[in-house]
Formats: sequence, C-alpha cells, structure tokens
Amino acid sequence: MSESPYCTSVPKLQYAWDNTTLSMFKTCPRKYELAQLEGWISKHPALPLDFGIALHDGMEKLQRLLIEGRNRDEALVEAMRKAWTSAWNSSIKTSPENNRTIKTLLRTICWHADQYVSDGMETVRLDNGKAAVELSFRLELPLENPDGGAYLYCGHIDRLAVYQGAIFVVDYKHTARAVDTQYFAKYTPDGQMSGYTLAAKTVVPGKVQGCLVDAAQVGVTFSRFARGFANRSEGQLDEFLRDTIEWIKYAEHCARQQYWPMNTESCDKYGGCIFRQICSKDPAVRRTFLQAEFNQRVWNPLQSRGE
Amino acid sequence: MTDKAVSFDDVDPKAIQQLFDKNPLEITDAELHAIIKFNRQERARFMAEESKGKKGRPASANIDYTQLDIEL
Repeated sequence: MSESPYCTSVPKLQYAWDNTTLSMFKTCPRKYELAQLEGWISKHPALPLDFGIALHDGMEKLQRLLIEGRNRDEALVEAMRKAWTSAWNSSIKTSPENNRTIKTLLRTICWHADQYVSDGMETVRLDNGKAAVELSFRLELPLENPDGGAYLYCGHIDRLAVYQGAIFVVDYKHTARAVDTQYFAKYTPDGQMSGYTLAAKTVVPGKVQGCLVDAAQVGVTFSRFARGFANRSEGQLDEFLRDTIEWIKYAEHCARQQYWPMNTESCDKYGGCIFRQICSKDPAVRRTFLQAEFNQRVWNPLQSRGE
Repeated sequence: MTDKAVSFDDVDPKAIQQLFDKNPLEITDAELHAIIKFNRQERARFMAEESKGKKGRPASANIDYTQLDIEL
C-alpha cells in the first residue's frame, strides 16, 4: 500500500506537495479540489502527457545504459524498446495526431542521441555507481504540518549532468511548437525549475548552477532540438521557498474550511479548463455531470520513479 | 520471428512503417537496428534540406545555448 500524501488530522490537506499539485492549486483551488482531492480526470486520453512519459522512459534507459558502458547503438535499441512498450500501453498506440506517434517517438530518441553524441555533457554518477537519472526527491520545508511533521516538497529530476564544471538539472521537454527563445522564456520564473534547483542544491551543495531544459520540437516529419538554461540565484530560491510556504498555508486554510474557491480568472487559460463545463452548472447538479463525463484516479507526489 | 528473419539492408520505408504496428514484445533487435538506420537516413535528409532552407526553419529556432545570456 502506498504512503498517503495527506495529513491524518486534516484529511484533505496534503503534507507532501509537488509541482503538479501546487501548480494546480495556484491555478484554481476548485480545480485542485476536483482533480487532486477527488481525483477526477478526463475520459479523453492525454496524448501529450503519454508521449512525454514514453519519451522520458526511453531517455532514462539510454542514459543508464550509456553510463554502464554499453555502446550507443545497443543502448539505443534498449531505449527504443522501453519507450515503445510505454507507448504501446497508452493513447499513443491509437494516436489521432500525426506528430505524436510511435514512429515520431522513436525518431526523437534516435535523433536526440545522434545530435548530442559529443556535447561535452556527462551524466553524474551516483555513489552507488548508477547514473543520476529519474531521481525522486523529498525536501523538508521549514513549516510544520498539523500532524507535527514538516511539510514536504517532492519531485522527480530527469537527469543530473556536469557541463563545463558545473552541475545542471536536465529536464526533458517536448512540444509541437518551435523551441526558440520565446519557448525557453516560460521557464523563468517557473516553480518546477526552481523546485528542482532547490532540491539539487540541497543534495549537491554549491555545485548546482541551475536547470537545463533539453527540449524537442516533435513534428510530423522531423524532430528539432535546442537547450536553454533556467538558472536561479540564491535570492530567487529564497523567494521561491517563501512563496511555496505561503501557498501551502493558504491550502491549509482551505482544507480547514473545507472550501476551495473557484478562480474564475483561470477558466479560459491554456485552451480552457477541463472542468469549465462542470463549474458552469448549478452546484447541485455538478456531481452528476462529473460522474458521467470523468473518470477517477489517484495522484501521489510520494510515488517514486526510476529503476 | 528470429533476428535473422528480416533483412533491412536497403531500409525500405514501407517495411519500416509496418513495424510500428507491431507489439514491441515481438520486435527483434535486428528490426530495431533497422529503425535506427532508417532514422539516421531520415535525419541526414532533413539536415540536408534544412541547410538548403527547404524546411523554412524559423530564424529563432535551434538556438545554440552557448550563445544565451548565461553565467557558467
């Protein structure tokens, strides 16, 4: 049985947070209540999410095998098999989009490996000899939860790598749009990159420079790559930590009140909230529509990843 | 199917395309090597086209991260 991320004394209050849940809460507490606390998810498959997971699976496998000393093509074969298996069990198998298919997934892994074959970046080797990829972390925040322990900030780092003498948190991203200056600008400020940097600096004090976004533009007939930095100063990290604590205090307030207000300013963002049609109905009938149009699942920030 | 059952010396795109419909548990190492070879050919073709400007690469795409305003 998996470890619960919720407090015992305040059952709908998370003591273990990650960027996914905190970002959702910041966007709209009501969305957080529906998606995280009640677990409602769309019945329509999340193709970009599935593609990202399969791509991460392949990249993780590739880096692990390369650091074990396997030659590149042998490692690629295993990485592609891993990504393919992940894709086969997801919405990618019957993808309605031409740019997120098994073919484009395998092509992206192959082309990325060939483009960055001698990029001067080396995956950090952990003390146990394994590659520092898919590292799950838990940071204790300087804030006590109602059960008496510390609140936690959790996450999963794709890869720690050394580049020009400094350590970077490498995060793989994929997109259908161009990976240009404007694309990378969205990662500063960004809670996920700040959280990763804070976590990595805690594990490897003084050596971590920041994040490196390793982005792939996946088209129908091509994959194009670019990397951008998302560095954080100590002052920016202090600010992120303080902001995170203030947001968690607000989440605690909502949980104690048993009320998560709707942020109507977010309903239209990013193509429209998936719960917009639910929230537009009278509160008395929303439950009926949720049950008809959504499935339920559990998201747990404490779930570890990696081999 | 054994690894020697299929030859992809010529990396026929149609044969490669058919592989993507297969269950990954049934894919052989030889077939995966053929896909790698196919992808390398496709990448070489794409890069040649890009260098001629045929793909209409946006001026701001593929930025070199060493040129960003960063402190290392």
